[in-house]
Amino acid sequence: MADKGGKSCPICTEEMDLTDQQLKPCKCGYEICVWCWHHIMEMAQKDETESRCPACRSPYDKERIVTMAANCQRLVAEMNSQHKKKMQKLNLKPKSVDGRKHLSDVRVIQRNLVYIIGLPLNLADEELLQRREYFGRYGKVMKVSISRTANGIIQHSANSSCCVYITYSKESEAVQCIQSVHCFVLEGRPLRACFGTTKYCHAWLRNVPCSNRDCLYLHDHGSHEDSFTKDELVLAFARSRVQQIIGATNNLHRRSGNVLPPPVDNPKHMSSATKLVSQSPLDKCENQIKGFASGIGAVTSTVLPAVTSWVRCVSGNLPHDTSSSCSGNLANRKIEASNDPQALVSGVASTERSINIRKSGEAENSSDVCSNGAFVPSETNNHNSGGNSKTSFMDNDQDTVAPSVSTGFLELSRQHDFNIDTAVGINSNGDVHGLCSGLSSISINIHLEDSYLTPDSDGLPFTRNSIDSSLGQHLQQDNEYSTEHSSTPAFWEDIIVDDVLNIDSKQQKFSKGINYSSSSGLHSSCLTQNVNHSSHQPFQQDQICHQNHFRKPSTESFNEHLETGHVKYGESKDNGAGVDSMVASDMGENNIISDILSLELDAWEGSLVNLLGESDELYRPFKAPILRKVQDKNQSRFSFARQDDFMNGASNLLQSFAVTGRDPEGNFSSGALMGNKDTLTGKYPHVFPSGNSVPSDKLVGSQSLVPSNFSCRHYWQMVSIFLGYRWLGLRVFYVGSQLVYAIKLQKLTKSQDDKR
Amino acid sequence: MALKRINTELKDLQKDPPVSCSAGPVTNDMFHWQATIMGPANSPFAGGVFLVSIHFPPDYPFKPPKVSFRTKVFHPNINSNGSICLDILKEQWSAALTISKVLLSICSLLTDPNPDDPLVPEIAQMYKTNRTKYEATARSWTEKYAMG
Repeated sequence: MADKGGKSCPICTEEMDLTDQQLKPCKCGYEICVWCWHHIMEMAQKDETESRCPACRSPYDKERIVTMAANCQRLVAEMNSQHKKKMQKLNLKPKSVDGRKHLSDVRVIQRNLVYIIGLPLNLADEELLQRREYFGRYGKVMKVSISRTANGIIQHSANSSCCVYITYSKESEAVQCIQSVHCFVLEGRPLRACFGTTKYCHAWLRNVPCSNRDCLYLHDHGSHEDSFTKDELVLAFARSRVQQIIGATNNLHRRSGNVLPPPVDNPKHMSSATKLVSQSPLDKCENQIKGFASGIGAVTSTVLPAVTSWVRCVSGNLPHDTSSSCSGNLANRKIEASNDPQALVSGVASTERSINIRKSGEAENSSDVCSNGAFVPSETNNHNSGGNSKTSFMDNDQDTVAPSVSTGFLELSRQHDFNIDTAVGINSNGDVHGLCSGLSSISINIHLEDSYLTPDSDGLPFTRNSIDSSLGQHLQQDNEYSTEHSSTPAFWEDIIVDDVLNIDSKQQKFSKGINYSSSSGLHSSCLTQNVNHSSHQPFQQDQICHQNHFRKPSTESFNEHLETGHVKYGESKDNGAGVDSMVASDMGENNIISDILSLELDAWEGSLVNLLGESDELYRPFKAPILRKVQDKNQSRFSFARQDDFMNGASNLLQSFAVTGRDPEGNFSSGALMGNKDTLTGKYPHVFPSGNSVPSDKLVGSQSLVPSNFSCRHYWQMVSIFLGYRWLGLRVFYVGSQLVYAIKLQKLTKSQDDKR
Repeated sequence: MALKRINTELKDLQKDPPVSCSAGPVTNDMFHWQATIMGPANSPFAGGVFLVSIHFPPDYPFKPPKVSFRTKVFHPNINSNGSICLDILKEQWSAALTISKVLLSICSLLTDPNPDDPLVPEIAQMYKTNRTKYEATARSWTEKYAMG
């Protein structure tokens, strides 16, 4: 035996729906789906064999199975209807605040609202239609609303007809209107009438007080029987099409006329209808004129009935009772007995008309949103259609078919609602799109601002960087300037130093007076200048002249000291400067005394030591610091410095003798040659050799790290130069005037040579 | 529809495999399976592994699948081509039958041949007259073809 999955066919493993589950083709209980069963039967028929149960292989009894299948279909229909009812109850049971949201898909039939399509356009006037000649004859009209577009233009279909919503004060009045008008041919056009539907107010669904006084939506729960969901509408719509075929056959029976028919249940109106027909042209003209004249009033009256109709709707819903509805149904059933075929035809025709409306795509006016674009046939129509279907359906099917028909119409209503919602959605989407575009523009603006700020922010740091860099550059330039500035002072300082040195040397010339140290200082400064600036040679010559000038008095004083003191005093007078001469003479005496005290040797040795000391001093001052020290010593303590100098010279002399023995003799021999008595012209060549020796002396002096041999040569060269200068000076300046002095010098030189 | 049924059977086989059988698709083609049948213990085919191929028709399970042996078998109801003479694979097929049931039926056939409806008359004759020789020959064939 196959396992009973309960929900899947064991043969094809497909899911078995309600119909399949109701099929029980074999006594053994093996259940298969309808498709497989049908396939087995077809194969057996094709092969001309018996169809057998797959499980027990017993042949299937086709007649029995067919009967059971029919029963199953009926049962399935019943179960479907029960399921539908359960869904309705579930949808409506939760009525709390949160439960209201599910009601947005619910549409409620308004028993006092009539939806009529097919009216001629010449009657499209709210005030005109309210009159007793038209819809006012069926009862008190609370509000008339013609389908309009957003611009206020009346919507009309291809056959130039319009749709109207009429709100009556009572349900019975609406029923009469539908019974009389539905399927009535007015001016060659058939009219369709049914109940209208309304949906709940959106504000009410959110438990928010509705701020629109003219709101025509529902603000309270509708009755359960009149409520339908969209799903139910969709299910019923397909089945309602089946009724069209049946309805078409009954289209032959029609009522026609040029005026709306009177209520059916009033026999008195029959005679009045006849009269109206005879007078129809005149009445129509008058009615048109009146309608035109009172156009303005119609607008005003339109507003007031809306408010009052809303109030009546609210009050009308409250006293609704089941018993009253039951009595109403009974009354409807009595009435329907005489109109069975017309009701069925009207139901089908209404469906067709609705379909046409839907196909034409006409949108509902905003003022008509409260009453949905579709209509629902009255209970009379439903019951009539149910009764007519007795021949083809069982009694149990009445409930099944009737709701499907009505829900079909509601489905159309839902279609229109969907269109409206779609339009609203489109508008809202457009608005949202506008907002989105606005937001995008704002974002674009923000982006532009960002993009605008970005280069600015980039520029700002750039500017700052540039400023910083420029500042840095400026600072660098300042540094450069400062460097240049600093370099310039250094240059000037160097110049000043040179000037100071020159000034010092000049002061030395004037302040030192007559002494060997001062003369040697001058000589050293001249040498320094020569080293630094070769262009100062004339200055050097001047210095040499001055040096010789100062040196002359000291020599004379020395010689006079050797011979007589009188000559000494006379010489001082010749100088002319009393104070200076006294100072000079004092210094000369001190020198002589120091010579005598320091040296106990012969005159020759003393003079030699003196010369060597001078040469030593000449050697030392090549460096400025040494020069200054020497100057300081001379200025502060002349006598003591002098003694120190002589001691140093002596040590040097001894060192020179120890090192070499021939060099001193050679040098002195050259000196002797200088001392020869020659003419001035013959003596000039000697000047040039001494001048040449000066640079060599400088070069030798600059080399302070030379060996001792070079230093000995230096000493003797200095001595020879010194002697040369003194001798030349005497010759040049005092040749013709003082022959005696020259003779004395020659004698002194000879004496020295002899001693050697 | 057939494909869904075949997939369902494959899942059932993988979930609850039979004792002496195994089956599954050869390649991605779900309509071509390959199965193996272990020789029954109390038969001369014991110890052998017999390869069987299965082809499903497009209108399965309303038509029976085509089953054939790929291993040589010395059996009265199985010929040298591997065809199997089994009623449920022919006129007695039922849509409620499955592959696992078919394989079990083949095992049962190996144990108890049906000489009254033979596919190879010679073997059937031997099975009836000289059972000992039949068993010896079947065993030698099994050792020769189904154990290598």
